[in-house]
Amino acid sequence: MQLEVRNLSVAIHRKPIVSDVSLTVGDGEFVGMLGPNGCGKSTTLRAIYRLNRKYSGQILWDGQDERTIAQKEFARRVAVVSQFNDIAFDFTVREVVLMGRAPHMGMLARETDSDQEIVAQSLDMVDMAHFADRSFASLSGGEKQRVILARALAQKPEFLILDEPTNHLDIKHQLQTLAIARDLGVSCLAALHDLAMASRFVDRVCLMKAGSVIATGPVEEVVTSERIHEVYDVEARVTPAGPAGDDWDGGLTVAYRYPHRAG
Amino acid sequence: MLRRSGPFRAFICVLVCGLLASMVATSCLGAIDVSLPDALAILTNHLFGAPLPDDGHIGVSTDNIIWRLRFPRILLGAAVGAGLALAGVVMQASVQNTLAEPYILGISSGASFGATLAIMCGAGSIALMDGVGSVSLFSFLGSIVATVGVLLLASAGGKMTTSKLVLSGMILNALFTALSNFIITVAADAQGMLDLKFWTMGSLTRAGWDNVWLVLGVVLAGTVFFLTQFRSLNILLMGDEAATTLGLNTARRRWVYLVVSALLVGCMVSAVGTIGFVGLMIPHIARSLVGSDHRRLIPAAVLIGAVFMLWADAAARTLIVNSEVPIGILTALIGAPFFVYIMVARNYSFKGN
Repeated sequence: MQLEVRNLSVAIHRKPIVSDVSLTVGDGEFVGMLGPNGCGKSTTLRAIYRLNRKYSGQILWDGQDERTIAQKEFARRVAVVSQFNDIAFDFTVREVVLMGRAPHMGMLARETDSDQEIVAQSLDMVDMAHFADRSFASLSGGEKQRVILARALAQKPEFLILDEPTNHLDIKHQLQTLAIARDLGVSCLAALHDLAMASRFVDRVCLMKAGSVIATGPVEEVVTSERIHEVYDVEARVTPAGPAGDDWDGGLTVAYRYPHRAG
Repeated sequence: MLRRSGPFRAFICVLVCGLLASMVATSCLGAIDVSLPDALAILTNHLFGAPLPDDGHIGVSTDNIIWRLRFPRILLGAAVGAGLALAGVVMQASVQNTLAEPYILGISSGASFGATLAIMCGAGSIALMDGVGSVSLFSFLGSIVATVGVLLLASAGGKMTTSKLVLSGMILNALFTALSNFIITVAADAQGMLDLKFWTMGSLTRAGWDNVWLVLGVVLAGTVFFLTQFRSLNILLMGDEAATTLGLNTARRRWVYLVVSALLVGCMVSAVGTIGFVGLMIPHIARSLVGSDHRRLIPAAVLIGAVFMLWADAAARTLIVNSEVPIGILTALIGAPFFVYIMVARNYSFKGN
């Protein structure tokens, strides 16, 4: 599924947060959104996944304006893993993941064996199968995050939106989450913080600063020492993670220096 | 354990049997004791046409006590217990807060203000309806106004929080109680004072065959309606953001559910006054037994609520010889410590949502 955002501007309490953002995500493409805190990544994503519909500009899915797509239809095609909020009620892990099947079910329909199968597969993909009957509330932050990813996978989406999905995760599960997003074969748009981590998974990055996109393209072209300095206000040295062709290929190593040294 | 379908079905069977047994058992209790076989004989006689025992020891007065006085009251009690538990479950899901309940949010007192208004201003004659109908209607309108009010107040200036919700409920409670008192005072009516006592303390004493059907019907219809909504109710519990991304039109659903539960509350309050904390305690107990999935939670809460109310009312009838404790006082005596337990022992965070 393709996404095209044209000239998106969002104001919250009359304060412009995002201005004139345009971006595209092609079929099966994995695009990473990078940028410092408060640069408008989440606000842009929230407009895209329809939590905030007070925006100007156009958001097109396979060329169709999002305003003309029904909520349930949208949820069948687009799944979201947002920055997790705690809930006051308790469900088992399986019940939470099963909710991912809701957009595909009629109001009174019972879960079929195939729904249960999809739930089991999704839990397996995030290493949480053995937790299926545990109480969701008893999990750690990282485990909850993985369950929410499993719920998104259970939606069988054509497009995956991830808002800082690696928060709370240990290194193995950061790698796992991004590998799942890359290998799922569907389009994916993810707001990410770790530049080096992003560089080894995404096809393209979109770098934001102060509510605008300032660069977009392949990681090696966009994530450079100069840009990092410009956007994040830190000194950085960016080098390829390994010689071309070996197992480490495709990633960057980013070293930082802070505060700035004179000269 | 009760989350699996086998044990859960067994549990529901136990509850249904418990409810039927409680209905018979509590019909023996009251100012005049009736023996269990006699009560059973009278009930089966009226319900199924089974003959009464030949020896004729069951007199007309006993028959009247059981069939005219106690049985309608038992039906009404069961319906109200079930309805309050259902309203609690639905309101908790709708505002995503485990402390939501018709009494705590001031919705019951809104309904009771509506009912007071209807009676004191003689709305029965204006509205071209019989007394029960117009009081119920005004009571429903009162609960709608309170529902809208508490939601607007609690979400004023940003996100709804638990403390804002509970405070808003307190404000509305105070406001509607004052308004009811004001009407009564202006009317300077001794009967009105008694009526007000009835609305504010809650009692099943007015139960009779004429007012039981409306409540019973509305509670049954409400239960069926919300059972069909189990999946949406579950998704609402995940929070607005998640619910939206799972395909739910959250704002619209919330309003539909709250209006239907306001209808339930209005109907019940017009028949029995405000009975607090049942909608808080029962869903909590049910949730700890069967989990949060509404497919199981609704049947469990409704049945437990009905059984609870039957025994609470039996206690209200028998605790003081030759008198009655208003049932609202009893549920508050049990419910207030329960509220404290949820707040303290469950370490409920008043900071977050």
